[in-house]
Amino acid sequence: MKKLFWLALLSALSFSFPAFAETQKVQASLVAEHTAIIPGETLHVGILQKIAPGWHTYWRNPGDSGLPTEVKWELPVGFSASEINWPTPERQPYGDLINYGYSGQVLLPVEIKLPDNLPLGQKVTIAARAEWLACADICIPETADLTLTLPVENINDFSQHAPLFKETRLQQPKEFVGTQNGKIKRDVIELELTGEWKGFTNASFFPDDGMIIQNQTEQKSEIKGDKLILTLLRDDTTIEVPNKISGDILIESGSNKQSYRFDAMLAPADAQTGEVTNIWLALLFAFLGGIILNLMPCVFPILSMKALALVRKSGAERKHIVTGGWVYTFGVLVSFWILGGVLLLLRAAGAEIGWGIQLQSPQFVGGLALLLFVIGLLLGGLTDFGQSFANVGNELAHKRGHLGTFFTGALAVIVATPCTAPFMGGAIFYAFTQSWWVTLLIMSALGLGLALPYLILTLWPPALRYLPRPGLWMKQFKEFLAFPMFAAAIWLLWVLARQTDAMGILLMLFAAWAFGFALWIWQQSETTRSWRLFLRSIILIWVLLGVFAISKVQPARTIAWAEEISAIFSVEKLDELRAAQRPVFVNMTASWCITCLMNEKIALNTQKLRDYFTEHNITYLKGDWTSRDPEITTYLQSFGRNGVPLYVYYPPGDACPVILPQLLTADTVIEKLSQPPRQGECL
Amino acid sequence: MKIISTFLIALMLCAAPALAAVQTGAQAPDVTFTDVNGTEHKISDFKGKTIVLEWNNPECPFVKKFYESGEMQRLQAEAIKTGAVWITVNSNKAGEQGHLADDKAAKAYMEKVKIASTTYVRDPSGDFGKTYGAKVTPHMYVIDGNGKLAYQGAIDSIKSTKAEDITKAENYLVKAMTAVKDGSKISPASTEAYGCGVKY
Repeated sequence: MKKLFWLALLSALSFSFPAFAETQKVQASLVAEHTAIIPGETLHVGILQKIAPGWHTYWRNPGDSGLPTEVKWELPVGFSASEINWPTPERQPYGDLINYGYSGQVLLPVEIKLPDNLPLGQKVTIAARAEWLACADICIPETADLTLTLPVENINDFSQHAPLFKETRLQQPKEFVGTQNGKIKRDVIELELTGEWKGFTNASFFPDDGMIIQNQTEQKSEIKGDKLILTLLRDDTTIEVPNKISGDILIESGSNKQSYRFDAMLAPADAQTGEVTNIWLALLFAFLGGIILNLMPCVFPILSMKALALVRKSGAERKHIVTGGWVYTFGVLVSFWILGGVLLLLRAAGAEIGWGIQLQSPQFVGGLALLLFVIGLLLGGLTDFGQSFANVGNELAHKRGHLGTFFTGALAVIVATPCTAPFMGGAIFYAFTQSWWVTLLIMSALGLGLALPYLILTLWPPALRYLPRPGLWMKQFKEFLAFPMFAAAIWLLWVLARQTDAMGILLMLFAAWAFGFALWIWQQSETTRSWRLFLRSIILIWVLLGVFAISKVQPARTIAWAEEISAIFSVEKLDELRAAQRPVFVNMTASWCITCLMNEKIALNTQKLRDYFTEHNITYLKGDWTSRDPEITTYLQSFGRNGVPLYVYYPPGDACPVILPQLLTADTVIEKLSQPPRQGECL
Repeated sequence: MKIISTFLIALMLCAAPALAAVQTGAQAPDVTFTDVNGTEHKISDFKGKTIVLEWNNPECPFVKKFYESGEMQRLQAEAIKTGAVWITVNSNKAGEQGHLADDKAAKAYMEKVKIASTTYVRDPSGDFGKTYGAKVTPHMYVIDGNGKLAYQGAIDSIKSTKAEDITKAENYLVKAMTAVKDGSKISPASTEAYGCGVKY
């Protein structure tokens, strides 16, 4: 009786066991979408994997570890099976690794082409050996021999598995309608898709191949207009940079999910400032930079004055206007050639040079401030200057006017020197790393760009029609233009205050006073003839006194540092900190560099960053290039720059230094600093 | 344009992974490690010799494929015969598959599979593995006599757990070792390693 019981139990148990081995983590079966085979058509079958909780199987690219499921078919003659039409997988993290695979349940669909000559009514068996790796924390290779028998018929019906096939089709990638682009810049890969992205929440990319991207790194997606931009990090174990990228891209919009195929060449991203390596690109950037210079606060009034003169002159002889345009252009070009020549001579003499070095001289800064102050006074109406300056329009008719126009061009260049327009930086650095004629060529392109707007106005009369008609507004506008000039002078005075001491500022202000007084006397000399000679000599004395005062402005010996967490940059200090494995952040700045000050204001001097620096024990080294400093110039050049700002972060240890963008926010700095350190050969 | 690209570059920088990576051709990190005999070594101690690093997990089917067929032991013996140093590293942490609790357990495993490598290193902290960016078992590295990373990646070209694939596959490790010996160009110098994830 007892024996019988055990026997019954045993048979019951063996019967209740499914046809899978007990140890299998994945139960696989071969299923079809329809109930019958129709000759000549396509049969939709699939390997259905039911995966134990906590376990997973892999996609065609398994990611950092694992193996994809493989199927070997045993088919009757005339049948042919496709590859697996993989549904887009999940990202499955395991420790520091990321795998691409499936959990729960997955159908791996395959299409089987059927021959035409199948006898109706017959039963056909298709067989497959499926092999997969099932992994949780450990991995088990599993195998299953699967068969499926279906009748050959004229018509068929959906099988019980049909809904599963339908559902799986939604998980398979669709072809993407719209443009796809891939860009690579150093270790960063950007995928760009154009389309409508209403309700977009997230996107993830699944590469077809290994060793293209760092699987474990978080992927960032953002929408910019009609573009979805997905940012990935390149797999940096190999030096060879991939030139194309393909895979599935899964786009989530709320609870909706749809994946698409992505396949694009990887083009190098746009060259950034400081990395211009091609003369044509350098020329183009110099030219564009020159055009943009016209909009700078101190240059714009000069251009406006010239344009105003043209408005007054609209009835005058065209020939004179055209000549004036060329003379102005020539004035700009000659000034740039002189500037380029002087810089080249300085370089030849062994000086460390860079754009803006002229601003390191307090005399130059003082002189420029004075010049802007005087122009402001003239524009503001302190004196009419014998109509010769402000009313340049009338002068155009005279030969003397061309000389004035020439110097207006020169003036535009001088007041433009504190400004570096976008594009210019890279072009100028390139200019000074090449032979002298390339330097002058690039300077010429910069000059042509600067002169272009005025040249167009003179050469193409219809352009003048877009300027308003002459009237009282011109006087008011001219007077208004004095104020940007004064503002620029105030800024330069502040730069000077950082370069010199109270005595230097006193001398500078005295010079401004002397010039102002001289101008007032000039006004008087215009009206009282008998005193003219006497007054003019007094003017000369005051002007000379002013010039003398400016020339006496000396750089201050020391610069006071207000930062509590910073140290003054020196190569020695940097090396010492690096040797001690300390992380270091280097900020190269100058008082006359507006970008630098902006960055300090909105990023570097924020509480958020100071806390971050303190927390991560990062030393903040600040190098001041306001005055000449060969050590800093050499340092800048080692990063392909010859101007400020430059921000470099040195992670602890031997990792490569990270160069930060020239425009900062506190968040971008933190992101850059928390980036994985890059070992090996530095770019 | 500069501004836009600067911002784009700045925006794309992502969270830090703990797993480092060494670029092929770069100086191999000079890790200090203690082998199962309690002897301390540094990678730089073997300067002038070719070094093979092999990541091991006794239970991993991909590792078993090479040890149960005797292929790994054969490769180890051959490498050592040419004067190379072969270091087998186990970076699986305590409580995970493949972890070896102590040097005794490691020696028992070495005895069982008749391992032929120069030395065996237990790295349960994962420091050694993470420094080299070892992702799977077996993950293979070849360091040349100058201390430069000459090869990293898979042991061979067929990603499977089946021993019968060994003879059909192209052995990348042997190829790299031969090229290092001849001083010729290593190709491929980086491949995608396959296997079980290292259990850090």
